[in-house]
Amino acid sequence: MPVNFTKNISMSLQSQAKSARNPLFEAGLLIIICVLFVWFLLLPKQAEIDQKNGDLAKVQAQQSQTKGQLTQLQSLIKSLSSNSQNITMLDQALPLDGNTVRLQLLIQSLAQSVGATVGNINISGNPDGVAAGDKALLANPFGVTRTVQTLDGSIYLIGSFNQLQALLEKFESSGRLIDVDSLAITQGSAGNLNMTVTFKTYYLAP
Amino acid sequence: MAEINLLKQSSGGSNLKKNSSKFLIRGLLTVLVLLVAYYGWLFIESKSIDNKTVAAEAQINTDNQSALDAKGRDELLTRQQQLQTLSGLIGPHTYWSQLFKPLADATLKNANYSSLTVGKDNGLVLNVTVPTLEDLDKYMQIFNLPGFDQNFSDVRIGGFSKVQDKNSTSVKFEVQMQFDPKIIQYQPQSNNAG
Repeated sequence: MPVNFTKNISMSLQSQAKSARNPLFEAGLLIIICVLFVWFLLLPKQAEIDQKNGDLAKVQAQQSQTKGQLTQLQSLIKSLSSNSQNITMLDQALPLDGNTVRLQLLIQSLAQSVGATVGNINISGNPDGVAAGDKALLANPFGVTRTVQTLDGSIYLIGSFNQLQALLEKFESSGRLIDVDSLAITQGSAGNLNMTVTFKTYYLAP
Repeated sequence: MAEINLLKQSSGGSNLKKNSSKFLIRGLLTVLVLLVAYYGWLFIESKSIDNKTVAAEAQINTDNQSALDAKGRDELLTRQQQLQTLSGLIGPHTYWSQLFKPLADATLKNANYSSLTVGKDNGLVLNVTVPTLEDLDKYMQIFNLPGFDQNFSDVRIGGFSKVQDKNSTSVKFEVQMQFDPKIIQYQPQSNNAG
């Protein structure tokens, strides 16, 4: 039986050369696939993760801050409810209503406490302000926006210099914040002095 | 004729190549598999981060809502505003009673004041009576002395007249001056003492 060795050898060499070329091709292809995978999928995903991690850190910091603020708020509310005496003083210094009658009574009692004779007291409040019975305010007294407002007034009284000076000192040290705007002292009868003081006080109201 | 085994020789060299290529491919395949696995892990991690972010945001919203709904929050805010406003008002609060001592210090003993008017512009108007014109001159000179010139300045005389009384004569005049606003500002020592 004739055998063509030449052909067989030639075929074997060709297939060997082919199989030696193919793995290189495959390896190259795999490298390209790996590079493309890394470049187009892995790196963008990694960047996305980094970005998300950054965002998460920010959100977590904000969460921690909010939690801290909530805790502080709760602690302040607790402390507020246990400081009624200080609140009373605060309300006296800067009331939450423009009650002119209470102010008039205060001025009168201050003037009388120094022994001076009160001629008259004038206090002008906000004519548009509701003095009492504001239903919306009564329903939610702290839920309204408030602004600082002033009450202007004047007092005319008769007394000695010491009495007038004592009254000024009472005004200055009063629990209610009273700012004197002007002062006029003239000689009165029987060795007394007449004094007119114009002043203003403040309140925080809607 | 000697036999030459061409097949064996060529098969030995190609086997080595074949094996190394196989290892290379396997290595590369392993790398690829690892990369895919890493990608899968990244994918899961991404979802996990998303979940954590959503949970944190939900917690923030819950905390914010709790803060908004907190009983006593409105009162607290009002009290804070009250305190803040008061702090702002106390700063410029004036103490007019402190004006009298420096004025008395700068006044001649034989001078009498019959009226005093003070306004917010730091202006002081006084009606003064002194026995003689020399006293009027002395009265004015005091405000040029060191110490007194710091508290009072721009002293002006509106006009003076001689007044005849039953027993004596005197000089009456109106004087206007500016006072240093520091006099009526809060002075801890004098206020504590008073």
